[in-house]
Amino acid sequence: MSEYDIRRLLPRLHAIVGKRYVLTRPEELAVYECDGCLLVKSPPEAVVLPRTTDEVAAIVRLCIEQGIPYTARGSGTGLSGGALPLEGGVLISLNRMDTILEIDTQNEIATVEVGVINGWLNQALQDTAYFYAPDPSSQSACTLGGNIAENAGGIHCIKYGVTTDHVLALEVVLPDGTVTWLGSRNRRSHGLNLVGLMVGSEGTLGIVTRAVVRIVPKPAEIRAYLAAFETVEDAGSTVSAIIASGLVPAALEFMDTFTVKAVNAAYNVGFPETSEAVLLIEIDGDGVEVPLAEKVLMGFLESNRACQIRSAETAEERQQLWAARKGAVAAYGRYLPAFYLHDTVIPRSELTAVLRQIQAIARKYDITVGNVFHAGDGNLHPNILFDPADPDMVERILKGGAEILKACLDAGGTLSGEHGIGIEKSEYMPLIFSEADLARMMAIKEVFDPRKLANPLKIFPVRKGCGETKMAVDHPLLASGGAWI
Amino acid sequence: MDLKAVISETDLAALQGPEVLQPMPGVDGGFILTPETPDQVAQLLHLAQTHGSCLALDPDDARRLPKPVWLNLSRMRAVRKYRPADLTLTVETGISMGTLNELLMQDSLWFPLSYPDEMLLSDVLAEDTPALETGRCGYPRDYVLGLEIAAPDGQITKCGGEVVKNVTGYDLNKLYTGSHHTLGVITAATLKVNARPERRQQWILDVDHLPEALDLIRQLRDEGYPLVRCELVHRNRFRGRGMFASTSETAWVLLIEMAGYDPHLRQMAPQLKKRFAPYEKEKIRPQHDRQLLRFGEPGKPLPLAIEFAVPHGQVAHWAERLLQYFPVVEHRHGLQIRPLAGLLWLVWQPTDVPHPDIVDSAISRFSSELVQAGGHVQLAEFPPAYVKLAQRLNLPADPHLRRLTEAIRKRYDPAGVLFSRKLPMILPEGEHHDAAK
Repeated sequence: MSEYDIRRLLPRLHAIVGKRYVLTRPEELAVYECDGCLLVKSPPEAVVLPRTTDEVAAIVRLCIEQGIPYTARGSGTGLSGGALPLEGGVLISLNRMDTILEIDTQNEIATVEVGVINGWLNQALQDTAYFYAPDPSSQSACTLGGNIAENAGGIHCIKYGVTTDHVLALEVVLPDGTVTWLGSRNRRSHGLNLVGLMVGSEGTLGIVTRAVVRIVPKPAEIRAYLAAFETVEDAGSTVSAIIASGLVPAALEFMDTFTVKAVNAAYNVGFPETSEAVLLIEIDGDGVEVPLAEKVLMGFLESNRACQIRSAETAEERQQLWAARKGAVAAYGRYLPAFYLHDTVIPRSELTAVLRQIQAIARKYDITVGNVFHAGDGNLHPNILFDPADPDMVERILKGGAEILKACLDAGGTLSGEHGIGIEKSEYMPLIFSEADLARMMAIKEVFDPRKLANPLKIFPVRKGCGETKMAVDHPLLASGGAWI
Repeated sequence: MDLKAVISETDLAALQGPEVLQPMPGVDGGFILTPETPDQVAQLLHLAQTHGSCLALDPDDARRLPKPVWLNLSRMRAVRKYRPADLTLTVETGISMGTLNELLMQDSLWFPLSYPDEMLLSDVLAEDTPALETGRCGYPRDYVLGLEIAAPDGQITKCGGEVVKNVTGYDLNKLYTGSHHTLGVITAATLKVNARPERRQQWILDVDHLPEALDLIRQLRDEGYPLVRCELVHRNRFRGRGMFASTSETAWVLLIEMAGYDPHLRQMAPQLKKRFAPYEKEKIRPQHDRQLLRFGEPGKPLPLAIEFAVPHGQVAHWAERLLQYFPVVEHRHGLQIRPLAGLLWLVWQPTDVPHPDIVDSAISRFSSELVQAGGHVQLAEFPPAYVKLAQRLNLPADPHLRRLTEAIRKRYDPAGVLFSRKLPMILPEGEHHDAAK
């Protein structure tokens, strides 16, 4: 338990942001007690909604003075518990910092406050020849600040890169309360690359308040396809062939039969249900390049026995196809009320073997696993569905989940491709890194945040076992909500 | 303390033989350490830390040490894991870029950033060196999936992994790449590689005026041509070195490369031929890559190369400003521009390098103007007289960033074993690991 009394600090928080923007009533705090990772809840003691960087800095300085832990949060769509105020304290919600400050097409950059919703930036770019490429499935709700904290990916990252590839400069409130800019308006590093370090650090090294991000030219032509395969092996071979050939699709996504059925039931999109696997593929480029790429792609689909190939003929059809993909996890809600999700990445040539192992593990534990993931990156998202009210099922999904994770790591994979570590995977870090490896990372945390107040207890293993997680699984919140992947 | 003096025969035996230690040619009392394994690197670093010695991974850095010790990784070139189907490769960093690409070529792959064949991967990663393709293909850090690091405390650690997407913990790959080995020696790397484009085509164009050249590049880019390289070079840059010698009297040479599907490039060829006809007077020569990427020659006096990173839509503006500050003829230097990356270099050959005070005052004014606009300036190569300017320019001016940089360096290399003149330690005056002290 904390040793400070948050109530005594409220007048000072009110003075910083205004009384209206300090939340302390239990029903208000309940909104912030978890994010998209539904396994654990932990309410803050106060939620503060600053409007400016100076206000954020003032809040951080107050927290330092009083020894109060603080956690920054965007829209709370994260899937690893990164925005969870695990030690209570102050939760700094950045949603009011939602201004797109500048769109500079000459230099191909946009400057934003971090509370800007990812999708808003693309709406603002609609009438230009540019777009912002990182597109997590939650892009209609997630903030750019959250994307930066977790180094978010998305469907089009196979070609355009993840968030870190698009961040040029960051305004940061450091854990000593000072404000500084990292990086510049050019990608060339100057000194140590602290921008690259800050992206994906999950708010543990400071609070990003503004960002200069790259925008990229819209492709002249886009074509999207759905290809169905009778076996996972054929779909996996297609992915491998595409990757090895050098054809870089704008998107290359996988859905298994269970997911296809869920999506059809939810959105009536008529995806083929008789096949074992479906690939959703998009290629883009100029008017000469795209037909050439299409020819190459069709060759791979045919040689790997695609049993059905559909082309999205119009922009509307393409949007419908991707909307169904992005809504896949929500569609699982028709079957069971909650899900436990991994975000592992494996070498792409191991896709088929690992998917077969996941199927075997699902049979072994009698659990339902839906697979919808970024095949082109080897970024798996096994969604293990469960009913939180069924303790036996909870036990089985946790065991099955651990076994799936192990299978991915044994194949040369890693813990997370785009969701971050947060609290959900922190205890697994020693499976990937040695004590000395972790010590190097923790040294960075000590340099930036010697008081350990900035989003404490994240990324690094601190608990002794999974008991805490198991307890949290019992929480009724597990029965609600969905997530985007 | 002299590291050589403390490396006993026993130490050498443990390091598997006297081959590890050799005299450094032309440097009094200097010697070269050529370890064959990361373990040996770690042992050598630990020895240096224990005995208060300094090492450098660049021979020009080593020469600046009071007791010159060059840690040369060129014997450490094992290919540990190569997965062509996954487009990933794990190698020790003593491998040369030429050898690396020869290996990849067998599977029609390549590391899409090209460097001189003899350059070691270790050097490329140390500096996060921009390549001719950087505007289109990015920086080396964009291709690093995982790293193995030998630390001054003798431990070998790793970061990242072997997969193409990874957010497992802090992205130390980004921190180490470009750190000039000052946080630890990068001994192995897992890289993302690409399929070779079906066809590449190059042009060398002679252009009279800078705006004309930049306008041509902008048009090509806006029209969607698959530009991979665009390098604009003032002839003074290679004055007296026989490059780009031509009957042409134009001031600028523009090198262009496009890459993509063979039919795509063939289809574009007639339009481009027509478009480039007024400018096309030169033939490409293979040594151009090397000369454009290296500012100095190994073992020879160092030139001065000042690098300007600008918002890339403002290259024309900053090039003009630079020419106002540093008129090319007057100062006998050349200007090299990589427009797609927003990078510009002013380069003085070793015999023409001006007194630092002359450059200092002009650069200081220019630098503050550029920083205001979101760019930055650093010394990419420089002779010894420019150490103090490098200490000022090669690290961010912001005191918070300097403090963080210094604190990270002190945590990772508390004894200051690893020396780089391009990324100097920020210590009080007179405490720098530098011959100048």
